[in-house]
Formats: sequence, C-alpha cells, structure tokens
Amino acid sequence: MDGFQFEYDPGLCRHCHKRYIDRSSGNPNEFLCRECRAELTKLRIPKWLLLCMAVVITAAIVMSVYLGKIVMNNSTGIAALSEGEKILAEVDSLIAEHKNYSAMDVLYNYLEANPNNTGVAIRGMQKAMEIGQYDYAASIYNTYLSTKGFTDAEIKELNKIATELNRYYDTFDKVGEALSEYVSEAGTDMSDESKEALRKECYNKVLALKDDEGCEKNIIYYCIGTYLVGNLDESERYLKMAYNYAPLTDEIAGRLAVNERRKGFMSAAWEWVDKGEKVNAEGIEVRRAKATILLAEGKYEEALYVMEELYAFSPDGSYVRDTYCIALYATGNIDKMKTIMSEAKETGYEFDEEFHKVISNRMSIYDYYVEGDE
Amino acid sequence: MFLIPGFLISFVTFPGVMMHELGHQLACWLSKVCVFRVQYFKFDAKVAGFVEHERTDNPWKSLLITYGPFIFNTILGTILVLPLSLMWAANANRIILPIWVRPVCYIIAYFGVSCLANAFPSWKDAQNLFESVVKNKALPLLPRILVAPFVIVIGLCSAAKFFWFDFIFAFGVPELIYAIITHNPPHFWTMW
Repeated sequence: MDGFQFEYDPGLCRHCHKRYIDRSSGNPNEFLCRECRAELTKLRIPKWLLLCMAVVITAAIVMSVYLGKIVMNNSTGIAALSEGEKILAEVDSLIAEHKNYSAMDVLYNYLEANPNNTGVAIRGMQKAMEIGQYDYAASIYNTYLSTKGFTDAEIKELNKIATELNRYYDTFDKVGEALSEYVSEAGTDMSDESKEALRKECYNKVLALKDDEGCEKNIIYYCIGTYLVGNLDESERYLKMAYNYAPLTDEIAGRLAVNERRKGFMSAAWEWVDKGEKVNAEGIEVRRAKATILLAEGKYEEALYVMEELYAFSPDGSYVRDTYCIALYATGNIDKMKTIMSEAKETGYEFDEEFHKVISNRMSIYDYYVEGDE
Repeated sequence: MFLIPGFLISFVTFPGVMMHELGHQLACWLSKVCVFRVQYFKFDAKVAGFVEHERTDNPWKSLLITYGPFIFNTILGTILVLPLSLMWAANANRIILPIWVRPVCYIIAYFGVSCLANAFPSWKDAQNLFESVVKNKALPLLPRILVAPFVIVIGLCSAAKFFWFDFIFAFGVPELIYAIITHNPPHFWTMW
C-alpha cells in the first residue's frame, strides 16, 4: 500500500503514546505507562450521576427512617404487628359468621394485652362502627385511643368516627330525655286518658327530632316503634322505617320478628329472625325473638336450648329472664324456674301479670306470645 | 409468554442500566483494572450501555467484574425498595399515613425495581467471562473449573429472562423484605 504510514515506537504507552511503558511490575503484557495506569484505575464517575444517586439514596434513607419509626411506634414491636394482623383477621372471620359479640370480645382481649397497638385499636374501632357496635367503638376510643398522640391523618380518621359516635349518642340523649317523662309516669296510677295524652305528647316530641339534622333517624323511629305507638301496625311501620335507615342493626330485626309473632304471622317472624341473624347471630333481641317464636310454635326444647345460652350470655337483657322461665316451665323444669324467679325477686325484678297467668296455667303459652302484650 | 422487546425494557428501566454499568466500573476499580471508556446509557436497540476495560488474566478479578452489577444493583435496589416495604408493613398494621408517602415511596421504588431488574449479568457478560477464564488455556485448571458454574448460572438466568425472571426478582425483593419485617407471607401482585 502506497502512502505515508506512521509507526509508533513499540516501547511507548498504548494509551498516551508519549511516555514509555512501565515494566517495573514484571508483567510481560503491560502496555501502559505508570501515569496512564494510575489515571485509568481511578474511579471516575460523572458529577451529575453522583448527584442524582445522592438525591435518590438520601430520599430512600430518609423515608426508611421515617416509616421505620412509624411502624415501630405504632406497635409494640414487629411481632405485635403480625399478631395484630392475625387478630384483625380473626375478628373479620367472626364477623363473617355473624358472631359480632365474639368478634368484639376477641378484639377487646387483644387490646387489653396490647394497649399500645393503636393501629389495631383504630382498625378495630372502624370494624365496630361498620357492624353497628357503637358502644364497643366508643369504649375502644375511650380506653385505648383518647390519651395517645396521632398523626394528622389519624386524627382526621378518628374525628370522622368521633363525629358519627357523637351523633349516635346525642340522638340517644335527646330521645331518652323526651321518653323519660313517659317512662317514669306511665307506671304510676294515672288514668288511661292521662297516659294516652302523655304518650301522644311524648310521641310528638320524639317525632319532632326527625327534623333535627344532628339526630340519627333510625334511633328515633326505633324508639317510636318500640315504646310510643299504640298498635302493632303502627309499630311495624316505624320499625321498618328504622330498619331501612339501619339494616345492620339486629335489634330492629328482632323487634320486627316479635311484632310479626304477636300478630300470629310466624313465617314473617322467621324471616325477620333470619335477617337479624345475618347481621349478628349473637344479638340478644334476635335470639330472644327466635326463642319466643319456637315457644309459640310449641317447640319447647329448642326454645330452652336457645334461652339457656342467652341467659348465660345476658341474664339482664330485656325479657330474657321471663322468656327463660317460660321455656323452663314449658319443658317441665319447674324447680329451676322457681330458683331463677326467686333470684330475680331478690334483685327487685318483677315479672308481669300475664307471665304469672302462664305459669299458673291460666293462660296458654301460645296466647301469651301471640295474643298477649309480650 | 408475553414478549416485550429488550431495548424497550432497557429504556423504561434506564436508571437500572446505568447502575449496571456503574457496577462493572466499581468492580474494575476494586480490582485495579483500567477502565478506558464507560457508556452508562444510550438509546440504542443493540447496546444500552457498556464498560470498556483492560483484559485481565486473573480469573477472580474477571468474576468480580462480571458479577459486580449483581452485587451493586442488588444492594442499591434493596435500599431503594425498603421504603415501599415499610409502607406495606404500615398498611398491614392499619397505620394511616400522610397522603404524600405513597407516591414518594413508589417513585423511589421505581429506581429500586429498575436496579433490581438490571442486576443480572448479561449474556455478553457471560460470554466475556467464558472467553477470558473458562476457555483461557493459559490459566490453571482449578480456577477455570470453579468459575464455570458462575458462567452457567448467568446463562440460565439469561434464559429465564424469557419468563420475566429479572422482573420476578425485582418485584420479589420488596415483598421478601415485607415478609421478613412483618412475619407475614407476601401478597404478591395485590400489594402493588
């Protein structure tokens, strides 16, 4: 090939072509001078890349420290985190089985042992609200959350729940105030006319609360339907209105079941029991309604089984003692019934007149539950 | 198998590609091997980045240079996905976090996942290691035999990339961290 061809000195550094190759290392394959080797083995990273890396890594470290502190402070340790998860899962599964009281008991037992796990307390409160167990939600707040410090987001969430709870208890207070006069006077020796006038006055007072934006309508209608209307149809109308507002309240379904039973419509009564059990199979009103329907249908042993469980769970529940005694009477457990009655008498509890008629065989159980007042 | 062209993945995860090359560069620096040129990233369908370095006859240095990105990207990627794992742990404990935490964690995690997805040495890296060590008859037999499994591992990982192995690894690391922190099993894709 013609033309000029430049030839390097083979002893020159292959990188700079200026200095001689450094042979001091003894490496026969060496091809760089000392300066080039020193330069090329340096770590040369562009400043912009270092800056970008510094920003991202710093952000990651800051976030990790921040989140790490939150996670550690909101539980009694990492083990508590997973334990809390398991408890919440157990609570979820019990709620799915409609065992609302058992779910709340599991939650409460856990919080008693782990009072600093505010994460579980807040979530538990939310769950209690979701299933209409406002008393449990309020109790969790007062016991485990009211004295703790929170982040802004937690405060926002808690305020939301507290507003709902306040609305619930405010309505109860207002309805209770309106009802108190009627409840205290109705048992006295007033004439029927006076009682009816008082009932109407009280009815109007409670009904007026429905226009109060700060009141829960389901509580208003439930109280009217249960205490302040003169006949079963009116009662049913109000209770159904309450149910429409709060279908997740097992007490309303229980009351409606009792109303249907009193009218003699057993299949309709069972439908309400089913609805109530789907909300909370452990609900006192629903279980008692179920037992009374069974008694009215003559299924005494089944009724006794339901009432034995309910009496053990809540002996002071509305009409629980009466219904248990009727079930004992119906199944021939007279001695046990007498024991319960004497125990009740010692505490000042009084059974009504129709109850005495039943246990003295002057009234049939069917008449007591279908035609009677109970 | 759902196929996306490799260069498209490289473009989307370019921070990881850059860290991959930086991993090679750091390994060269630690091994005192001269680096002539570094291309951290370029929009090229064939080669997204490279490190041009001196050939070394030391098998262990070759191994370190080949596996440098795996070590570096895995460590860096783990640091960067840690906030996301902690955020999941907080969520699992029903801790309510400020609204800005979530996007910030996911942005940092993007860099982390990019690093982890590009942690595995490339097929080209495996070829270089094979040529410079396993096939190099000038080297003693023992190091050549010892390095050979590492070449096979890279080969298998490269093949597994067809089944999205690199991304399974990248998305799996934060879930593994979550599982270690909370003692709970990971929830896989539902967590993202």
